[in-house]
Parts: sequence; C-alpha cells; structure tokens
Amino acid sequence: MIDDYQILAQTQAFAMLTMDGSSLLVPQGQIISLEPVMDLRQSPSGQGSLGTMRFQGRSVPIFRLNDALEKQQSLDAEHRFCVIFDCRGTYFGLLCRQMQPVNRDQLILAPIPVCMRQADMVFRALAIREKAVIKLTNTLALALYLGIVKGESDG
Amino acid sequence: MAETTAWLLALDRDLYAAVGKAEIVHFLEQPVFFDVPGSPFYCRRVVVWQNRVLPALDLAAWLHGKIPQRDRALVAVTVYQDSPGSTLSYGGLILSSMPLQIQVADEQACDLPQRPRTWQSIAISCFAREGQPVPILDLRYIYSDALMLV
Repeated sequence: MIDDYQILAQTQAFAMLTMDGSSLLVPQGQIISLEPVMDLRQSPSGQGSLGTMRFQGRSVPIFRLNDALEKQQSLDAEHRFCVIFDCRGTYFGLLCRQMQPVNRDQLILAPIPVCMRQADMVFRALAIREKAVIKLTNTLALALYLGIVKGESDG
Repeated sequence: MAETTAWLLALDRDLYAAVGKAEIVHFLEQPVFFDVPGSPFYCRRVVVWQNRVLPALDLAAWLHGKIPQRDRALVAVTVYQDSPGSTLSYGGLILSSMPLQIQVADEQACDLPQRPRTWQSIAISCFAREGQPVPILDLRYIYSDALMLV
C-alpha cells in the first residue's frame, strides 16, 4: 500500500470519476477507454457485475459501485459512460456519471492513516482538493477489490 | 504534591478519558467528515485540518463495539510522536462535548475501570475524579494499527 502511495504521489495527471455521488481519483494513464453506456448489455454475473460491453473484440464486465463501494445491479439515467481499465491484460469497466481531469498540483496527497488501513481496502491514498477529501486508487487495487484478478497471496 | 494539567475528554455520554495538556492542539467544533469506505467501523471518516488529512477516531465505538448515539460530535486534534525524536503526528479524536481542562495530582492515581476491559490496551494510567476512574490515553497506540488486533 505504501509503494502504491509513492507511485500515486509521483503521478501528474489524474482522472476524477464520479460514480454515484462520491468521487474517486485514478491515474489518467491507466484508463484505456471511455465507452458510451448505451453499449452496455445488462446481464448480472457471478462477479457482481451489472453487465458486459464489447470492447476490442472482448466481453468486458462492467460494474456499478455506490458510495459505500458496494456493487449495484441497476442502472440509472445519470450514468453516461463506462471507464475501461486494463489490469494485466484483463479488461473491466466502471459506470460513471462524470469524469474530470485533475492535475497533481491541484491535490494535497496523504497516505491512508495507519489506524484506518485494511488489507482489502481499495483506496491507496487520500487527497485534499478544494477543501474536500477524495479517495485515490489504481487499476490493480480496483481489480482486486472487484474480484477481477486475484492477489499473489490468493494464489 | 505533583500536579499536572490535563484535558478531560467525553468520548460519549458515559465514557471519559484524559490526555496531557500539550497533546491537544485544536478543536474542530463543527467538523466536516469525509467517509472512507472499507476502513474499520470505529474510524470510518477523516477530517481536514491545516491541509492535513486526519483520521477521526471514535474510541467510544471501539470500546463499546458499536457506534454510540451522540447529540453532537466534535473533534479534538491530538498530537503525538511515534517514537522519541520522530516528527509530530496528528490525529482526530471524536468527542461528545468540549473538553474540560483539569488539574490532576499524583495522589489521584487509581486502577483502570473494569469495563470495558479493552481500556487496558489503550490507557497508560488512570486517575480518580469525582469518584470515577479516568483513563489516560496512549495516543501513539490508538493511532497505530493496534486497535484492529485487540
């Protein structure tokens, strides 16, 4: 988690994803595509995805997370696109309402306080932006959290 | 008779604790909390103070094993060192009311409260005030990952 923090701290360009109500910052370079939500085929899977989308010839699982980061199985009209990530060659997507570029110099980064860290936590850092705190993550942390890939300790 | 100044902290309606006078540097009377999903139930939120992100630790929740009812929640900004000579670290402690500055004498030393038993993990000593034991908090310990392991 600390290594991830140091990498995030050196990242210059982030994307702020607004999913339901809350926002999440990810390194902009880790987003491989934005796809319109109209291409989503709703068909819940065992992984808890909302559905799938065809992208570069693959069927990509798409997830919707609420503010508590729980997987949701319904779509609402506010979700306009899917952000597609590539984790070790496995694609997955997150439903988003908005995406906004954010530069590193707009953020004051901080590690997750030690007393709050959990092994399965999706966040890798916190950032102050315009008096608010936004959570930071990366593709691998998201993929592990969503069950797209397994951690090394999981085999 | 040695006397020292301390802060008496209301962790909730029933639980009181104390820290040294120098261990609190600020109070946020109307804190703005930000949720951090996935963190422990007793420390699910953070606050911003002087461009720092501080954990908002609810010790009463940890001691009771559930989030207590509060009419209001304010945050004491506490300062501690992870080890002697290390840089200062800051943390937020959720309180039910404004702390009270009190004088504590050596003669007031007493045993820790029997309940909750977990007081023993987080207190460095205890004193009696108005017939009630008041544990003195080990700030370095409570802001470490140790509470998850108790």
